[in-house]
Amino acid sequence: MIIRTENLCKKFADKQALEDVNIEIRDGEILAILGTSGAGKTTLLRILNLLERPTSGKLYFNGRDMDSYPDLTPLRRKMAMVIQGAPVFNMSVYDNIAWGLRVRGEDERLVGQKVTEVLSLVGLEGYEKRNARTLSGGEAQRVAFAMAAVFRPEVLLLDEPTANLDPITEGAIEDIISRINRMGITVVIATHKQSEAITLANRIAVIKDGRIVQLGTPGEIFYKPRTEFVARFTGAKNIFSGTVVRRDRTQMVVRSGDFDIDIDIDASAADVRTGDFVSFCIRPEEILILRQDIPVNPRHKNVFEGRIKRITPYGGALVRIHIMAKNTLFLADVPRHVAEKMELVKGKDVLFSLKLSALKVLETG
Amino acid sequence: MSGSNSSLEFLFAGIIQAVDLIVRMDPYVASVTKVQLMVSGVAVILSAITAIALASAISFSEFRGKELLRTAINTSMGLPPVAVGLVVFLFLTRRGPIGFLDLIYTPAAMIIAQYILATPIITGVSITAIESIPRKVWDTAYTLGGTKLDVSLQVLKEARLGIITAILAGFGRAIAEVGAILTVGGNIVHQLYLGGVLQDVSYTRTLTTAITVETRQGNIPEAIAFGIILLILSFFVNFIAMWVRKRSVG
Repeated sequence: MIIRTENLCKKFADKQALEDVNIEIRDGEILAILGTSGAGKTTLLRILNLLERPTSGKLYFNGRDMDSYPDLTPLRRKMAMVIQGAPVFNMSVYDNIAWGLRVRGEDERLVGQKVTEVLSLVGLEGYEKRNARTLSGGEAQRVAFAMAAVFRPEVLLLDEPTANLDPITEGAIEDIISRINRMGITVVIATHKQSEAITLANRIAVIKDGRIVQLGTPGEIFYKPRTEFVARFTGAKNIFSGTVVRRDRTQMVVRSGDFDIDIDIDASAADVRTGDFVSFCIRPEEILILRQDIPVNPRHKNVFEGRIKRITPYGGALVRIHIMAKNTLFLADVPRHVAEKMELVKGKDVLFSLKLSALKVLETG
Repeated sequence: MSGSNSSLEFLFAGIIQAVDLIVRMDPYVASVTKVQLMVSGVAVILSAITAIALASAISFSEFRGKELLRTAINTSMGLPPVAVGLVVFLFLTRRGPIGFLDLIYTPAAMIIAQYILATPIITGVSITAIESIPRKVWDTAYTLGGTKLDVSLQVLKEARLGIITAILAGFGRAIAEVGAILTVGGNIVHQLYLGGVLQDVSYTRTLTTAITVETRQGNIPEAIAFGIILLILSFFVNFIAMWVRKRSVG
């Protein structure tokens, strides 16, 4: 099922929760709606799930206006949402999962078969008789998934599916989400975790103050953030600003503090002119620390010298190197074994380079 | 010294005779207990049916005057039994608006009075139980494809322990109450020949009304026997209520 929204707005008594949301959910994809808490993610999911009516704007299901359905129940039954915190009913796991089938009038013999199937999908074989309220957070979340997946909805909406779960359970839940998607179910995930969005999603919509600020593939969102907000939110870390001192057809030079930085021009920076003040960013993994034993090619651009101020662990396999160069702080992520091999330690002077193509000019906002 | 001794003996003898009355199932004591259980039981069953319907209507649907009804229910939770008894009396008495039904001084009149007393309590506590079910549970039922009826039934199911507690609270109020049933029931016993012996048999006399009359007449063993049975009953109700609460927490 394809869902499309047109200028969707939702206003609560004291707050504009959504503003002009135009988004299309494609058949079979995993779309992540990425934003901080209070950005409007849950409201958007609730409207897509017909739990809430938009204040204005249109909602189309397979091209058909939602308002043209005389009864929304058949439409609602093609979708399911896993609400944040996985509320389960105070009954057995079996009855919880069977619930959605029973309200659809499913034959009781098929109910048993389908419940068994979905229990193995979420890895809870043998849990049928347990009371769902006695389960741990991770187990309850699996039951909540099974409750929604058992009747094979066309679209599954997930609100913060891994909030408050430990990393191992989080991984298991992400795995379940992939498996559900491979069954042909379109998945929409509202999340504040960039890692989750990048791991699972085919496309990411970044939402801020009820507006979609950027929609694209994970690569586009993370490596070509359009605005400073998206850059910060997706962890670009190295965000600078300066004046364009020179530009030609393919490259420009921006003077930022004591640095002249060369940047490749892409479509989004096409109308930047000499003299403009611009912001730009580079992700920490795009800053390369150069080996001392190989001489630097003098034609290499954006090579600077700095001193390591601090090294912090980052995500287990990486370390984050804090490099101070002429009073500007650069953050570079390096695999831990590489850092050890290069003997990167606090106080060491290093050469580092900023890849021209990895530098991205940002729109203000 | 001897005074306090004899008063202790008097109490002791009363208790022993009372236990004897209970153990050998004295026909009078048994009939009073039966009337109590029948009147309060039927009243509470009818109240429970009404209350669950009312609570569902208030919790699950929107209608005009809903808030007024809710306020009325909350106010009625503490109605003074004697006043309820008076109103029911005025309606049922021979010269009253429905006096022709000839219900005054019958168990039916007592059931009506207790029904009026128990219904607001069961309704009010049930509404609290239903509304304490988190919104997320309602939403889950809805998003899984439930119709409004499916969602309501599931929420009622989730609130079942609270509703049972409400019904027990209603029953507790019904068996503890004297004023209303005394006024509309008249505390009547019939004298029947049972096994060749003239025997008091309750018609509209319950444990509570029996205690008042027996005490006044100085029939202490009977009064104590009724007191013991009443205490056992209310202990039993509270015990079940506690057990239900424990289960709902776990």
